[in-house]
Amino acid sequence: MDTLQVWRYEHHVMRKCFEIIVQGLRLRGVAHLPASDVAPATSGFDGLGVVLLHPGFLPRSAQGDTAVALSDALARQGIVAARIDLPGLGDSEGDLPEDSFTFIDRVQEGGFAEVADECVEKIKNELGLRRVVIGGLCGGAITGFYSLALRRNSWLAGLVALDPIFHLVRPANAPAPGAPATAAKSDWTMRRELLRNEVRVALLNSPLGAPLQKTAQQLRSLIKKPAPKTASIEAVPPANGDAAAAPLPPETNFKLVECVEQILATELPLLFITAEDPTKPADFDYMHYLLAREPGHATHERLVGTDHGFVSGNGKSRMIECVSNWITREFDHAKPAQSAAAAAS
Amino acid sequence: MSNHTTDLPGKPSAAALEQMNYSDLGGEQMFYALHRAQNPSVQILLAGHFVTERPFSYALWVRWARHLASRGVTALRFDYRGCGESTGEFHRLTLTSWLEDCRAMLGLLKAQNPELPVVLGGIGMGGLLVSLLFAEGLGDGMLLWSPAANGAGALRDTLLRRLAFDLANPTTGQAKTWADYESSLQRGESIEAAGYTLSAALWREAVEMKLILPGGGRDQGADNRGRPWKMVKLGQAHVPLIPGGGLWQAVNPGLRVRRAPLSPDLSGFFEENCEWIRSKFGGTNTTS
Repeated sequence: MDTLQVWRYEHHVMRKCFEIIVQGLRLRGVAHLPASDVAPATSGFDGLGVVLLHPGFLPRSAQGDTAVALSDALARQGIVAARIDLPGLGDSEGDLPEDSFTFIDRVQEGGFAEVADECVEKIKNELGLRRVVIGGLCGGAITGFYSLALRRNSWLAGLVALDPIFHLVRPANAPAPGAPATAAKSDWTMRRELLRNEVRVALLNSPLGAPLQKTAQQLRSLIKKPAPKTASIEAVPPANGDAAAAPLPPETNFKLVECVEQILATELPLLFITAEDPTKPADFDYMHYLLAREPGHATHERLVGTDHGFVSGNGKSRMIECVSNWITREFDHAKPAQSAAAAAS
Repeated sequence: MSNHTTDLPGKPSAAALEQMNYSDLGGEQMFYALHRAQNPSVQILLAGHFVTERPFSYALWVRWARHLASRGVTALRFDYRGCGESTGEFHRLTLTSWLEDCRAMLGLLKAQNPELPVVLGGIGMGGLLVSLLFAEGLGDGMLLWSPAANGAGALRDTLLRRLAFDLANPTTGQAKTWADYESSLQRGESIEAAGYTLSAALWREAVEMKLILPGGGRDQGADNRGRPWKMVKLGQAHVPLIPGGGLWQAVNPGLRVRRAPLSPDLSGFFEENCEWIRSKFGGTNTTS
C-alpha cells in the first residue's frame, strides 16, 4: 500500500481498499484513514490502529454496518481502523462450508487464530502502525482471543470484545456436552417452535396483526416489567468471590474461557461490551465469573436494551461511545474522554 | 488483483481477475468489485439487495460474480452510497440516489469494454432499480432475481424487523403496529430499524417507485427493441439470497442459523442463469 499520508483527505475520513496474501489466499479489507488535519500519521495515539475481524459468518461491515460506523468514529478520533474478511468470507478468497455449524465450530475452537494472527501483523506492516488493538463482534472477538493466546507480540496493545459468546453454539436439537440426551429438544419441539415463529411473522403481515399485537403487548406489559426502548449503559455490579467459585454450565466453551483467563492474567488492556436484552432469560454471567477470578486490566460495559448485533435500540451509537471512550482513556492520555464522545457522535 | 490457479469454490478461477476499489460520486466514495473475465463476450452489472439483506446474502452474491467471471462474463457489483463499504449518510439517501449509483456503476462498467453488451442484473431492490434503467433504454439485456415489486416492498422486511423487536420488547403505552409506523413515516417522521434510520423521504419514494417489466412475456421475453430479459423467482433452495431471509435473524437467530445454510451449492442455479446470458450474447466457457 502507498504511504498513508498520500491517501488522506484533508478534512474527512477516507476509506481505502487493501489486499493481503495470507496462507496463499487473497484477503480483502478496507482501511479507514483519519483526515490529515485530525492526526497526522496517527501521532495522537502514537501509531495506534484498530483491526476489526469480521463477526461470525457475516461480511466485515457487520449487521447494521456497525463495524463500518465504529471504524469511521475511530478514524475521526485520529486512529487508523481496518476491517478484514478472513478466508471464505466477504470479498476474501477461501472455502466456506455449506452449513453454518461447521463454520461456527471452527470459530469456537479457534480455527481462525493462526490466519488472524498473520493477518493482523500484515495489516500492521501495510498500514505502518506501531501498536494494534484487535477488535471483533462475537466470533471476531473469539478469534481475537485465540489469536492473542497464540503469540503475544509486543505491539499488540489490547482487545475490544463486543458481546463474545462463552457458551458453545450448537444445533438447536443437539444435546449439550455432558447433558443427558433426554434434555435435548426433540425434532417435534423444534417443529413446534418453527411453526410458532412462522405464525408470528405471518400475523405481522396480516390485517389482524395490528389489533392482536396491541392486545398481546398490553397483556404482557401487565405481567412483565417494561423494557427500555433504547439501549443504556448500565453499571456493572462489582465482582465477588462467590462468582469466581460458581460452577460453569456444561455448555460452556471451556477452551475459550481458559484462553480469556490467560489473557486477563497478562494485564493487557481489554474492553468487554455485553449486549443485554432484559426480556430474555439471563444466561450464566460469564463476565462476572471471569473478572471475579482474574480482573486483569479489563473494562466491562453493559449495554441494556439492545441485541447481540447492537443494531436495535440505538445500540450502535452506545457501543461506539463505549469503545471511543475506552480507547481515549487507555491510549491517549493527552485528551479528555469527552472528545471521544464527540467523535462518536 | 488475483490470478490464482485454483478450483476452490470460494476462489476466483484462473480466468478471472478481481479488483476492489472506490469510485468518487458526488463527494462520496462508492465501493465496487470488478470481476474481470478473460476474453469476455458480455458484461453484467449486479445491483444488490436493500442494505438490511446485504450481509446475509453477501457470500453467495460474491460467488455469483465469481461464477460469471469464470464463464466469460465480466461482472461488477457495488454497494449503494450509505450502505456497506460505501460512504454516505444513509438517512440522507433515497431510492433516487441509489438509482443514480446504478447509473454511475453502469458507466464505469461500460468504460471497461465499450464494445461489449451489458446485461443489467439485480436482486430484490436492485432488481427494481435496474428495471427502471432498462425501461429508460439502458443496457442490452436484463436478468432479475426476485425483484421487489415496489420500493415499499423492499423496505418492508426492515420495518417488520423493527416490529419483531418491538414485539419482543413490550413497553407500556408505546406499543406500535405496522399501521402506526406507516403513518409515522407519512407524517414525515424517521424510524430506526435494524441499525439504520429510515427517513420519510426514503419511504415516500419507496411507495411511489414501481417495478417496470417490458412486454414480450410474463417472466421472460424481449422488449420492443428486441432486448432480452428474464425474471427468476428465488425459492427456499436459495435462502441466503431471498429478500427477507434475514427476518429470521430478528425473530429467532438460533432458528435462522438452523434453517438457512451458510453457503449452499448453487452452482447449478448459477450455471442455468449464466447459460441464459451466454445464449443471448454469446461467449464461451472459460473455466479451465
